[in-house]
Amino acid sequence: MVKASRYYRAMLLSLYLFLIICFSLLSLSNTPINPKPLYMGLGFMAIITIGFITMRIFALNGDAMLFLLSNFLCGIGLVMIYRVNEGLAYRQFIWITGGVAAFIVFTFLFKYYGHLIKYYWYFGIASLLLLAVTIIFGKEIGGSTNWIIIAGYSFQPSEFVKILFCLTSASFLRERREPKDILYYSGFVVAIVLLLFIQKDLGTAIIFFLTGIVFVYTATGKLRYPLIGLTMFAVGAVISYLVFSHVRVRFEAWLNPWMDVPGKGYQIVQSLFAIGAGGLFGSGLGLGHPEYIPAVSTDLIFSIMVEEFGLLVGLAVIVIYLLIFVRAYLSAMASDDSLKELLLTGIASMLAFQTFIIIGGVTKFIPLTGVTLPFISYGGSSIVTTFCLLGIMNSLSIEEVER
Amino acid sequence: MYEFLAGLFKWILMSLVYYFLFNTIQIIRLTGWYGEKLGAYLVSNDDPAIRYELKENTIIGRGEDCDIVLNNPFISSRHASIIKSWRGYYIEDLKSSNGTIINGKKIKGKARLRDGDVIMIGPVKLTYRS
Repeated sequence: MVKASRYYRAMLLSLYLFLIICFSLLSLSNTPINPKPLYMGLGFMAIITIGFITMRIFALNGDAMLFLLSNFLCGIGLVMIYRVNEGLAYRQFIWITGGVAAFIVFTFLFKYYGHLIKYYWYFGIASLLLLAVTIIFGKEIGGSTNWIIIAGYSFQPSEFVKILFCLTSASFLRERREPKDILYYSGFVVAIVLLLFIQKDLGTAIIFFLTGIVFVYTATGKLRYPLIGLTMFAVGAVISYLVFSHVRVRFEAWLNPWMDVPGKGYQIVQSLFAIGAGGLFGSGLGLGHPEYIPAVSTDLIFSIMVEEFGLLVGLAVIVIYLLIFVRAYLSAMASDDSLKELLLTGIASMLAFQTFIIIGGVTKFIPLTGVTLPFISYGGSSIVTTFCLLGIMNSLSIEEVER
Repeated sequence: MYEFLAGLFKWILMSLVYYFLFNTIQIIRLTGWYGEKLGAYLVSNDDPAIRYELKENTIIGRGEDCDIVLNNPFISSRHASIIKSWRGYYIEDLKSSNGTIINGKKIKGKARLRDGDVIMIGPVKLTYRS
Protein backbone atom coordinates (compact mmCIF):
# COMPACT_ATOMS: atom_id res chain seq x y z
CA MET A 1 0.00 0.00 0.00
CA VAL A 2 2.74 2.42 1.03
CA LYS A 3 4.91 1.66 -1.97
CA ALA A 4 2.08 2.05 -4.46
CA SER A 5 1.09 5.37 -2.88
CA ARG A 6 4.49 6.74 -3.79
CA TYR A 7 3.98 5.91 -7.46
CA TYR A 8 0.43 7.24 -7.38
CA ARG A 9 1.78 10.54 -6.06
CA ALA A 10 4.38 10.59 -8.82
CA MET A 11 1.67 9.94 -11.43
CA LEU A 12 -0.46 12.75 -10.06
CA LEU A 13 2.53 15.10 -9.88
CA SER A 14 3.55 14.46 -13.49
CA LEU A 15 -0.04 15.00 -14.60
CA TYR A 16 -0.19 18.33 -12.71
CA LEU A 17 3.14 19.48 -14.16
CA PHE A 18 2.05 18.48 -17.67
CA LEU A 19 -1.16 20.48 -17.37
CA ILE A 20 0.52 23.53 -15.80
CA ILE A 21 3.20 23.69 -18.48
CA CYS A 22 0.68 23.24 -21.30
CA PHE A 23 -1.78 25.83 -20.04
CA SER A 24 1.03 28.31 -19.22
CA LEU A 25 2.31 27.96 -22.75
CA LEU A 26 -1.22 28.61 -24.03
CA SER A 27 -1.36 31.74 -21.85
CA LEU A 28 1.95 32.98 -23.19
CA SER A 29 1.11 32.28 -26.82
CA ASN A 30 -1.13 35.36 -27.07
CA THR A 31 0.17 38.90 -26.82
CA PRO A 32 -0.90 40.43 -24.45
CA ILE A 33 -0.63 37.49 -22.08
CA ASN A 34 -4.02 35.88 -21.48
CA PRO A 35 -4.49 34.31 -18.01
CA LYS A 36 -7.71 32.46 -18.91
CA PRO A 37 -6.06 29.15 -19.94
CA LEU A 38 -4.28 28.99 -16.58
CA TYR A 39 -7.58 29.35 -14.74
CA MET A 40 -8.97 26.47 -16.78
CA GLY A 41 -5.90 24.37 -16.04
CA LEU A 42 -6.24 25.02 -12.31
CA GLY A 43 -9.94 24.18 -12.46
CA PHE A 44 -9.22 20.90 -14.22
CA MET A 45 -6.53 20.08 -11.66
CA ALA A 46 -9.07 20.69 -8.89
CA ILE A 47 -11.44 18.18 -10.54
CA ILE A 48 -8.65 15.62 -10.81
CA THR A 49 -7.70 16.15 -7.15
CA ILE A 50 -11.28 15.71 -5.93
CA GLY A 51 -11.77 12.57 -8.03
CA PHE A 52 -8.41 11.11 -7.04
CA ILE A 53 -9.03 11.61 -3.31
CA THR A 54 -12.53 10.13 -3.65
CA MET A 55 -11.18 7.04 -5.41
CA ARG A 56 -8.23 6.54 -3.05
CA ILE A 57 -10.33 6.86 0.12
CA PHE A 58 -13.71 5.40 -0.78
CA ALA A 59 -12.92 2.81 -3.46
CA LEU A 60 -12.32 -0.41 -1.63
CA ASN A 61 -8.67 -0.96 -2.52
CA GLY A 62 -7.80 2.64 -3.32
CA ASP A 63 -7.75 1.90 -7.03
CA ALA A 64 -7.36 5.22 -8.85
CA MET A 65 -5.60 3.80 -11.89
CA LEU A 66 -8.47 4.00 -14.39
CA PHE A 67 -9.36 7.47 -13.12
CA LEU A 68 -5.83 8.83 -13.60
CA LEU A 69 -5.33 7.22 -17.02
CA SER A 70 -8.63 8.55 -18.35
CA ASN A 71 -8.02 12.01 -16.93
CA PHE A 72 -4.60 12.13 -18.50
CA LEU A 73 -6.28 11.56 -21.86
CA CYS A 74 -8.93 14.18 -21.03
CA GLY A 75 -6.21 16.64 -20.03
CA ILE A 76 -4.23 16.28 -23.24
CA GLY A 77 -7.51 16.56 -25.15
CA LEU A 78 -8.55 19.71 -23.29
CA VAL A 79 -5.18 21.32 -24.03
CA MET A 80 -5.50 20.53 -27.74
CA ILE A 81 -9.11 21.75 -27.91
CA TYR A 82 -8.15 24.99 -26.14
CA ARG A 83 -5.32 25.47 -28.60
CA VAL A 84 -7.64 24.86 -31.57
CA ASN A 85 -10.84 26.55 -30.47
CA GLU A 86 -11.11 28.47 -27.21
CA GLY A 87 -14.92 28.56 -27.15
CA LEU A 88 -15.26 24.78 -27.43
CA ALA A 89 -12.77 24.24 -24.61
CA TYR A 90 -15.03 25.95 -22.04
CA ARG A 91 -17.88 23.64 -22.99
CA GLN A 92 -15.58 20.62 -23.01
CA PHE A 93 -14.49 21.59 -19.49
CA ILE A 94 -18.12 21.43 -18.33
CA TRP A 95 -18.59 18.06 -20.07
CA ILE A 96 -15.48 16.65 -18.39
CA THR A 97 -16.77 17.80 -15.00
CA GLY A 98 -20.06 16.06 -15.71
CA GLY A 99 -18.20 13.00 -16.97
CA VAL A 100 -16.06 12.69 -13.85
CA ALA A 101 -19.19 13.03 -11.71
CA ALA A 102 -20.85 10.27 -13.77
CA PHE A 103 -17.72 8.13 -13.39
CA ILE A 104 -17.80 8.43 -9.59
CA VAL A 105 -21.56 7.79 -9.43
CA PHE A 106 -21.31 4.67 -11.63
CA THR A 107 -18.25 3.39 -9.76
CA PHE A 108 -20.03 3.41 -6.41
CA LEU A 109 -23.62 2.71 -7.43
CA PHE A 110 -23.27 0.19 -10.22
CA LYS A 111 -22.77 -2.68 -7.76
CA TYR A 112 -26.53 -2.64 -7.25
CA TYR A 113 -26.98 -3.53 -10.91
CA GLY A 114 -28.83 -6.69 -9.95
CA HIS A 115 -32.02 -4.66 -9.62
CA LEU A 116 -31.38 -2.78 -12.83
CA ILE A 117 -30.72 -5.52 -15.34
CA LYS A 118 -34.11 -7.18 -14.83
CA TYR A 119 -35.45 -4.44 -17.08
CA TYR A 120 -33.07 -5.17 -19.98
CA TRP A 121 -36.06 -5.70 -22.24
CA TYR A 122 -36.96 -2.03 -21.82
CA PHE A 123 -33.36 -0.95 -22.41
CA GLY A 124 -33.33 -2.75 -25.74
CA ILE A 125 -36.60 -1.15 -26.84
CA ALA A 126 -35.41 2.25 -25.60
CA SER A 127 -32.21 2.04 -27.64
CA LEU A 128 -34.12 1.16 -30.82
CA LEU A 129 -36.62 3.95 -30.16
CA LEU A 130 -33.88 6.52 -29.53
CA LEU A 131 -32.26 5.69 -32.86
CA ALA A 132 -35.60 5.70 -34.69
CA VAL A 133 -36.48 9.09 -33.21
CA THR A 134 -33.11 10.40 -34.39
CA ILE A 135 -33.94 9.43 -37.96
CA ILE A 136 -37.26 11.30 -37.80
CA PHE A 137 -36.25 14.44 -35.88
CA GLY A 138 -32.50 14.37 -36.47
CA LYS A 139 -30.48 17.27 -37.80
CA GLU A 140 -27.67 16.75 -40.22
CA ILE A 141 -24.32 17.99 -38.90
CA GLY A 142 -21.11 17.06 -40.65
CA GLY A 143 -22.62 14.58 -43.09
CA SER A 144 -24.48 12.36 -40.61
CA THR A 145 -28.07 12.76 -39.48
CA ASN A 146 -27.32 11.66 -35.94
CA TRP A 147 -28.02 14.77 -33.90
CA ILE A 148 -31.11 15.77 -31.94
CA ILE A 149 -31.46 19.41 -30.95
CA ILE A 150 -33.64 20.20 -27.93
CA ALA A 151 -33.87 23.81 -26.75
CA GLY A 152 -30.59 24.76 -28.35
CA TYR A 153 -28.64 21.83 -26.91
CA SER A 154 -27.57 19.24 -29.44
CA PHE A 155 -26.70 15.70 -28.49
CA GLN A 156 -26.02 12.37 -30.19
CA PRO A 157 -28.46 9.65 -29.08
CA SER A 158 -26.22 6.97 -30.60
CA GLU A 159 -23.70 7.67 -27.82
CA PHE A 160 -26.20 6.96 -25.05
CA VAL A 161 -27.40 3.89 -26.92
CA LYS A 162 -23.92 2.46 -26.32
CA ILE A 163 -24.60 2.15 -22.58
CA LEU A 164 -28.07 0.67 -23.14
CA PHE A 165 -26.70 -1.72 -25.77
CA CYS A 166 -23.99 -3.07 -23.46
CA LEU A 167 -26.43 -3.58 -20.56
CA THR A 168 -29.05 -5.22 -22.81
CA SER A 169 -26.59 -7.54 -24.53
CA ALA A 170 -24.91 -8.69 -21.33
CA SER A 171 -28.14 -9.38 -19.47
CA PHE A 172 -29.79 -11.08 -22.46
CA LEU A 173 -26.84 -13.36 -23.26
CA ARG A 174 -26.18 -14.21 -19.62
CA GLU A 175 -28.67 -17.06 -19.54
CA ARG A 176 -29.73 -17.46 -23.15
CA ARG A 177 -27.06 -19.08 -25.25
CA GLU A 178 -29.00 -21.43 -27.50
CA PRO A 179 -28.73 -20.91 -31.29
CA LYS A 180 -32.33 -19.63 -31.29
CA ASP A 181 -31.50 -16.91 -28.75
CA ILE A 182 -28.38 -15.94 -30.67
CA LEU A 183 -30.65 -15.49 -33.70
CA TYR A 184 -32.93 -13.12 -31.74
CA TYR A 185 -29.87 -11.25 -30.50
CA SER A 186 -28.44 -10.90 -34.02
CA GLY A 187 -31.80 -9.47 -35.08
CA PHE A 188 -31.44 -6.80 -32.39
CA VAL A 189 -27.86 -5.97 -33.43
CA VAL A 190 -28.72 -5.85 -37.13
CA ALA A 191 -31.69 -3.55 -36.39
CA ILE A 192 -29.41 -1.13 -34.53
CA VAL A 193 -26.76 -1.28 -37.25
CA LEU A 194 -29.34 -0.63 -39.98
CA LEU A 195 -30.82 2.32 -38.08
CA LEU A 196 -27.34 3.81 -37.75
CA PHE A 197 -26.62 3.08 -41.38
CA ILE A 198 -29.70 5.03 -42.45
CA GLN A 199 -28.31 7.98 -40.48
CA LYS A 200 -25.07 7.60 -42.51
CA ASP A 201 -23.18 7.07 -39.24
CA LEU A 202 -20.92 4.36 -40.63
CA GLY A 203 -18.26 4.35 -37.92
CA THR A 204 -20.73 3.90 -35.08
CA ALA A 205 -22.58 1.19 -37.04
CA ILE A 206 -19.33 -0.76 -37.43
CA ILE A 207 -18.58 -0.36 -33.70
CA PHE A 208 -21.97 -1.80 -32.74
CA PHE A 209 -21.68 -4.68 -35.20
CA LEU A 210 -18.20 -5.73 -34.05
CA THR A 211 -19.15 -5.37 -30.38
CA GLY A 212 -22.19 -7.57 -31.02
CA ILE A 213 -19.89 -10.26 -32.47
CA VAL A 214 -17.62 -10.00 -29.41
CA PHE A 215 -20.63 -10.34 -27.09
CA VAL A 216 -21.84 -13.49 -28.87
CA TYR A 217 -18.37 -15.04 -28.91
CA THR A 218 -17.80 -14.29 -25.21
CA ALA A 219 -21.18 -15.81 -24.32
CA THR A 220 -20.96 -18.97 -26.41
CA GLY A 221 -17.25 -19.53 -26.96
CA LYS A 222 -18.02 -21.04 -30.37
CA LEU A 223 -15.89 -19.90 -33.29
CA ARG A 224 -18.66 -20.30 -35.85
CA TYR A 225 -20.59 -17.22 -34.70
CA PRO A 226 -17.76 -14.71 -35.24
CA LEU A 227 -17.00 -16.39 -38.58
CA ILE A 228 -20.64 -16.00 -39.70
CA GLY A 229 -20.62 -12.41 -38.38
CA LEU A 230 -17.43 -11.45 -40.20
CA THR A 231 -18.71 -13.02 -43.42
CA MET A 232 -21.91 -10.98 -43.05
CA PHE A 233 -19.74 -7.92 -42.41
CA ALA A 234 -17.73 -8.53 -45.59
CA VAL A 235 -20.85 -9.14 -47.69
CA GLY A 236 -22.50 -6.03 -46.23
CA ALA A 237 -19.40 -3.97 -46.93
CA VAL A 238 -19.26 -5.09 -50.56
CA ILE A 239 -23.00 -4.47 -51.09
CA SER A 240 -22.88 -1.01 -49.50
CA TYR A 241 -19.78 -0.20 -51.56
CA LEU A 242 -21.70 -1.00 -54.73
CA VAL A 243 -25.00 0.63 -53.72
CA PHE A 244 -24.22 3.71 -51.60
CA SER A 245 -22.15 6.55 -52.95
CA HIS A 246 -21.00 7.87 -49.54
CA VAL A 247 -19.44 4.48 -48.73
CA ARG A 248 -17.69 4.42 -52.10
CA VAL A 249 -16.31 7.93 -51.53
CA ARG A 250 -14.80 6.91 -48.17
CA PHE A 251 -13.30 3.78 -49.61
CA GLU A 252 -11.79 5.47 -52.66
CA ALA A 253 -10.37 8.25 -50.50
CA TRP A 254 -8.67 5.58 -48.43
CA LEU A 255 -7.25 3.65 -51.40
CA ASN A 256 -5.78 6.69 -53.08
CA PRO A 257 -6.29 10.02 -51.31
CA TRP A 258 -3.82 11.76 -53.64
CA MET A 259 -6.17 11.35 -56.59
CA ASP A 260 -8.49 14.13 -55.39
CA VAL A 261 -6.68 16.12 -52.73
CA PRO A 262 -8.96 19.21 -52.51
CA GLY A 263 -12.11 17.06 -52.69
CA LYS A 264 -12.64 13.50 -51.51
CA GLY A 265 -9.19 12.93 -50.05
CA TYR A 266 -8.96 16.29 -48.28
CA GLN A 267 -9.45 15.08 -44.68
CA ILE A 268 -7.09 12.15 -44.89
CA VAL A 269 -4.41 14.06 -46.82
CA GLN A 270 -4.40 16.96 -44.35
CA SER A 271 -4.25 14.49 -41.47
CA LEU A 272 -1.27 12.70 -43.02
CA PHE A 273 0.49 16.01 -43.73
CA ALA A 274 0.00 17.06 -40.10
CA ILE A 275 1.33 13.77 -38.71
CA GLY A 276 4.28 13.95 -41.07
CA ALA A 277 5.03 17.58 -40.26
CA GLY A 278 5.19 16.79 -36.56
CA GLY A 279 7.73 14.02 -36.89
CA LEU A 280 8.94 12.02 -33.90
CA PHE A 281 9.24 14.92 -31.48
CA GLY A 282 6.54 17.31 -32.65
CA SER A 283 6.60 20.97 -33.58
CA GLY A 284 5.89 22.25 -30.08
CA LEU A 285 2.58 23.32 -28.57
CA GLY A 286 1.01 26.17 -30.53
CA LEU A 287 3.39 25.90 -33.47
CA GLY A 288 1.43 23.45 -35.61
CA HIS A 289 -1.13 24.29 -38.28
CA PRO A 290 -4.56 23.11 -37.13
CA GLU A 291 -6.24 25.59 -39.48
CA TYR A 292 -5.53 23.24 -42.40
CA ILE A 293 -7.14 20.19 -40.79
CA PRO A 294 -10.93 19.75 -41.07
CA ALA A 295 -12.96 18.59 -38.02
CA VAL A 296 -9.83 19.17 -35.97
CA SER A 297 -11.43 19.36 -32.53
CA THR A 298 -13.51 16.20 -32.92
CA ASP A 299 -12.57 13.43 -35.31
CA LEU A 300 -9.09 14.43 -36.41
CA ILE A 301 -7.81 15.59 -33.03
CA PHE A 302 -5.26 12.77 -33.00
CA SER A 303 -3.51 14.28 -36.03
CA ILE A 304 -3.02 17.72 -34.51
CA MET A 305 -1.96 16.11 -31.22
CA VAL A 306 0.73 14.11 -33.03
CA GLU A 307 1.79 17.20 -34.99
CA GLU A 308 2.32 19.37 -31.93
CA PHE A 309 3.44 16.84 -29.31
CA GLY A 310 5.18 14.39 -31.60
CA LEU A 311 4.69 10.78 -32.63
CA LEU A 312 6.28 9.53 -29.39
CA VAL A 313 3.52 11.15 -27.33
CA GLY A 314 0.97 9.74 -29.78
CA LEU A 315 2.37 6.27 -29.13
CA ALA A 316 2.25 6.88 -25.37
CA VAL A 317 -1.43 7.81 -25.71
CA ILE A 318 -2.09 4.54 -27.56
CA VAL A 319 -0.27 2.63 -24.81
CA ILE A 320 -2.50 4.32 -22.20
CA TYR A 321 -5.59 3.18 -24.12
CA LEU A 322 -4.15 -0.33 -24.27
CA LEU A 323 -3.53 -0.36 -20.52
CA ILE A 324 -7.18 0.54 -19.88
CA PHE A 325 -8.48 -2.20 -22.20
CA VAL A 326 -6.05 -4.97 -21.21
CA ARG A 327 -6.92 -4.34 -17.60
CA ALA A 328 -10.62 -4.80 -18.33
CA TYR A 329 -9.98 -8.01 -20.30
CA LEU A 330 -7.83 -9.46 -17.52
CA SER A 331 -10.43 -8.77 -14.86
CA ALA A 332 -13.07 -10.29 -17.13
CA MET A 333 -10.99 -13.45 -17.41
CA ALA A 334 -10.43 -13.63 -13.66
CA SER A 335 -14.14 -13.23 -12.96
CA ASP A 336 -16.41 -16.23 -12.50
CA ASP A 337 -19.69 -14.36 -12.94
CA SER A 338 -20.87 -14.56 -16.54
CA LEU A 339 -22.68 -11.20 -16.47
CA LYS A 340 -19.53 -9.48 -15.29
CA GLU A 341 -17.41 -11.22 -17.92
CA LEU A 342 -19.81 -10.18 -20.66
CA LEU A 343 -20.11 -6.57 -19.50
CA LEU A 344 -16.36 -6.06 -19.02
CA THR A 345 -15.41 -7.65 -22.35
CA GLY A 346 -18.19 -5.89 -24.24
CA ILE A 347 -17.52 -2.42 -22.86
CA ALA A 348 -13.76 -2.71 -23.30
CA SER A 349 -14.23 -3.98 -26.86
CA MET A 350 -16.65 -1.20 -27.68
CA LEU A 351 -14.20 1.51 -26.58
CA ALA A 352 -11.28 -0.36 -28.17
CA PHE A 353 -13.04 -0.61 -31.55
CA GLN A 354 -13.91 3.08 -31.37
CA THR A 355 -10.29 4.01 -30.64
CA PHE A 356 -8.99 1.70 -33.35
CA ILE A 357 -11.43 2.92 -35.98
CA ILE A 358 -10.55 6.59 -35.56
CA ILE A 359 -6.80 6.27 -34.96
CA GLY A 360 -6.59 3.76 -37.82
CA GLY A 361 -8.68 6.16 -39.92
CA VAL A 362 -6.56 9.27 -39.45
CA THR A 363 -3.35 7.33 -40.09
CA LYS A 364 -4.81 5.76 -43.28
CA PHE A 365 -4.61 2.24 -41.88
CA ILE A 366 -8.33 1.64 -42.51
CA PRO A 367 -10.91 3.84 -44.32
CA LEU A 368 -11.66 7.00 -42.34
CA THR A 369 -15.11 7.09 -40.74
CA GLY A 370 -16.04 9.84 -38.37
CA VAL A 371 -16.27 8.68 -34.77
CA THR A 372 -14.94 10.49 -31.72
CA LEU A 373 -11.70 9.48 -30.04
CA PRO A 374 -12.78 8.42 -26.52
CA PHE A 375 -11.85 10.95 -23.78
CA ILE A 376 -9.83 13.20 -26.12
CA SER A 377 -12.23 14.47 -28.78
CA TYR A 378 -14.59 17.35 -28.18
CA GLY A 379 -18.17 16.18 -27.67
CA GLY A 380 -20.52 16.30 -24.74
CA SER A 381 -22.46 13.08 -25.33
CA SER A 382 -19.25 11.23 -26.16
CA ILE A 383 -17.35 12.31 -23.04
CA VAL A 384 -20.21 11.61 -20.64
CA THR A 385 -20.97 8.20 -22.22
CA THR A 386 -17.34 7.12 -22.20
CA PHE A 387 -17.00 8.08 -18.54
CA CYS A 388 -20.21 6.16 -17.70
CA LEU A 389 -18.85 3.06 -19.46
CA LEU A 390 -15.52 3.46 -17.69
CA GLY A 391 -17.33 3.82 -14.36
CA ILE A 392 -19.14 0.53 -14.99
CA MET A 393 -15.81 -1.12 -15.82
CA ASN A 394 -14.20 0.31 -12.70
CA SER A 395 -17.09 -0.78 -10.49
CA LEU A 396 -16.96 -4.34 -11.82
CA SER A 397 -13.20 -4.70 -11.45
CA ILE A 398 -13.29 -3.26 -7.92
CA GLU A 399 -15.97 -5.79 -7.02
CA GLU A 400 -13.71 -8.52 -8.40
CA VAL A 401 -11.03 -7.54 -5.86
CA GLU A 402 -13.57 -7.33 -3.04
CA ARG A 403 -14.52 -10.99 -3.16
CA MET B 1 10.45 34.15 -27.86
CA TYR B 2 7.34 31.96 -27.75
CA GLU B 3 8.79 29.64 -30.41
CA PHE B 4 11.86 29.13 -28.24
CA LEU B 5 9.76 28.35 -25.12
CA ALA B 6 7.46 25.95 -26.97
CA GLY B 7 10.44 24.22 -28.56
CA LEU B 8 12.13 23.88 -25.18
CA PHE B 9 9.10 22.68 -23.28
CA LYS B 10 8.11 20.06 -25.83
CA TRP B 11 11.00 17.92 -24.60
CA ILE B 12 9.94 18.42 -20.98
CA LEU B 13 6.33 17.56 -21.83
CA MET B 14 7.42 14.41 -23.63
CA SER B 15 9.53 13.34 -20.64
CA LEU B 16 6.57 14.00 -18.34
CA VAL B 17 4.29 11.80 -20.46
CA TYR B 18 6.78 8.94 -20.31
CA TYR B 19 7.37 9.50 -16.58
CA PHE B 20 3.61 9.18 -16.10
CA LEU B 21 3.62 5.94 -18.12
CA PHE B 22 6.61 4.62 -16.16
CA ASN B 23 4.82 5.18 -12.84
CA THR B 24 1.66 3.52 -14.19
CA ILE B 25 3.66 0.43 -15.07
CA GLN B 26 5.38 0.49 -11.66
CA ILE B 27 1.96 0.46 -9.93
CA ILE B 28 0.79 -2.42 -12.12
CA ARG B 29 4.00 -4.31 -11.33
CA LEU B 30 3.53 -3.74 -7.59
CA THR B 31 -0.18 -4.34 -7.18
CA GLY B 32 -1.17 -6.51 -10.11
CA TRP B 33 -3.58 -5.58 -12.84
CA TYR B 34 -6.69 -4.89 -10.85
CA GLY B 35 -5.31 -2.76 -8.08
CA GLU B 36 -4.19 -3.73 -4.64
CA LYS B 37 -5.52 -7.08 -3.56
CA LEU B 38 -6.67 -7.36 0.00
CA GLY B 39 -4.45 -10.14 1.29
CA ALA B 40 -5.93 -13.63 1.41
CA TYR B 41 -5.77 -15.69 4.59
CA LEU B 42 -7.01 -18.88 6.22
CA VAL B 43 -9.01 -18.87 9.48
CA SER B 44 -9.18 -21.84 11.80
CA ASN B 45 -12.78 -22.95 12.37
CA ASP B 46 -12.01 -24.06 15.94
CA ASP B 47 -10.45 -20.79 16.98
CA PRO B 48 -11.23 -17.77 14.74
CA ALA B 49 -8.40 -15.86 16.35
CA ILE B 50 -5.86 -18.04 14.53
CA ARG B 51 -5.17 -16.62 11.08
CA TYR B 52 -2.62 -17.71 8.53
CA GLU B 53 -1.62 -15.18 5.88
CA LEU B 54 -1.10 -16.70 2.45
CA LYS B 55 2.12 -16.09 0.55
CA GLU B 56 3.15 -16.82 -3.05
CA ASN B 57 3.48 -20.49 -2.19
CA THR B 58 2.21 -21.67 1.19
CA ILE B 59 2.82 -25.28 2.26
CA ILE B 60 0.55 -26.82 4.90
CA GLY B 61 1.62 -29.91 6.84
CA ARG B 62 2.94 -31.50 10.03
CA GLY B 63 6.62 -30.97 9.16
CA GLU B 64 8.58 -28.21 10.89
CA ASP B 65 9.62 -26.66 7.56
CA CYS B 66 6.02 -26.00 6.45
CA ASP B 67 4.64 -22.46 6.33
CA ILE B 68 1.51 -23.50 8.25
CA VAL B 69 2.37 -26.19 10.79
CA LEU B 70 -0.61 -28.26 12.00
CA ASN B 71 0.36 -30.80 14.62
CA ASN B 72 -1.96 -33.75 14.16
CA PRO B 73 -1.21 -37.42 13.48
CA PHE B 74 -3.70 -37.58 10.59
CA ILE B 75 -1.86 -34.88 8.67
CA SER B 76 1.05 -35.73 6.37
CA SER B 77 4.37 -33.97 6.82
CA ARG B 78 3.80 -32.05 3.57
CA HIS B 79 0.06 -32.21 3.09
CA ALA B 80 -1.08 -29.50 0.67
CA SER B 81 0.13 -26.28 -0.86
CA ILE B 82 -1.69 -23.07 -1.77
CA ILE B 83 -0.24 -21.33 -4.79
CA LYS B 84 -0.91 -17.78 -5.84
CA SER B 85 -1.48 -17.16 -9.53
CA TRP B 86 -2.69 -14.12 -11.41
CA ARG B 87 -6.20 -15.48 -11.29
CA GLY B 88 -6.31 -16.04 -7.55
CA TYR B 89 -5.30 -18.79 -5.15
CA TYR B 90 -5.17 -22.48 -6.01
CA ILE B 91 -4.86 -25.39 -3.59
CA GLU B 92 -3.00 -28.55 -4.52
CA ASP B 93 -2.87 -31.79 -2.60
CA LEU B 94 0.73 -32.98 -2.20
CA LYS B 95 -0.14 -36.71 -2.37
CA SER B 96 -1.08 -36.79 1.31
CA SER B 97 -2.28 -40.06 2.80
CA ASN B 98 -5.66 -38.70 3.93
CA GLY B 99 -6.30 -36.21 1.14
CA THR B 100 -7.56 -32.64 1.17
CA ILE B 101 -11.28 -31.96 1.25
CA ILE B 102 -12.86 -28.70 0.09
CA ASN B 103 -16.51 -28.04 0.94
CA GLY B 104 -16.98 -31.78 1.55
CA LYS B 105 -15.35 -32.88 -1.73
CA LYS B 106 -11.99 -34.56 -2.01
CA ILE B 107 -9.84 -32.72 -4.55
CA LYS B 108 -7.80 -34.26 -7.33
CA GLY B 109 -4.97 -32.10 -8.58
CA LYS B 110 -5.49 -28.36 -8.36
CA ALA B 111 -8.62 -26.51 -7.28
CA ARG B 112 -9.33 -22.80 -7.30
CA LEU B 113 -10.26 -21.31 -3.94
CA ARG B 114 -13.24 -18.99 -3.54
CA ASP B 115 -14.05 -16.79 -0.58
CA GLY B 116 -15.67 -18.82 2.20
CA ASP B 117 -14.44 -22.24 1.05
CA VAL B 118 -13.87 -24.67 3.94
CA ILE B 119 -10.63 -26.58 3.56
CA MET B 120 -10.41 -29.80 5.58
CA ILE B 121 -6.90 -31.05 6.13
CA GLY B 122 -7.11 -34.27 8.12
CA PRO B 123 -9.44 -33.37 10.97
CA VAL B 124 -8.55 -29.64 10.93
CA LYS B 125 -11.00 -27.26 9.27
CA LEU B 126 -9.77 -23.95 7.84
CA THR B 127 -11.85 -21.30 6.06
CA TYR B 128 -10.38 -19.42 3.09
CA ARG B 129 -10.98 -15.66 3.13
CA SER B 130 -9.94 -13.15 0.52
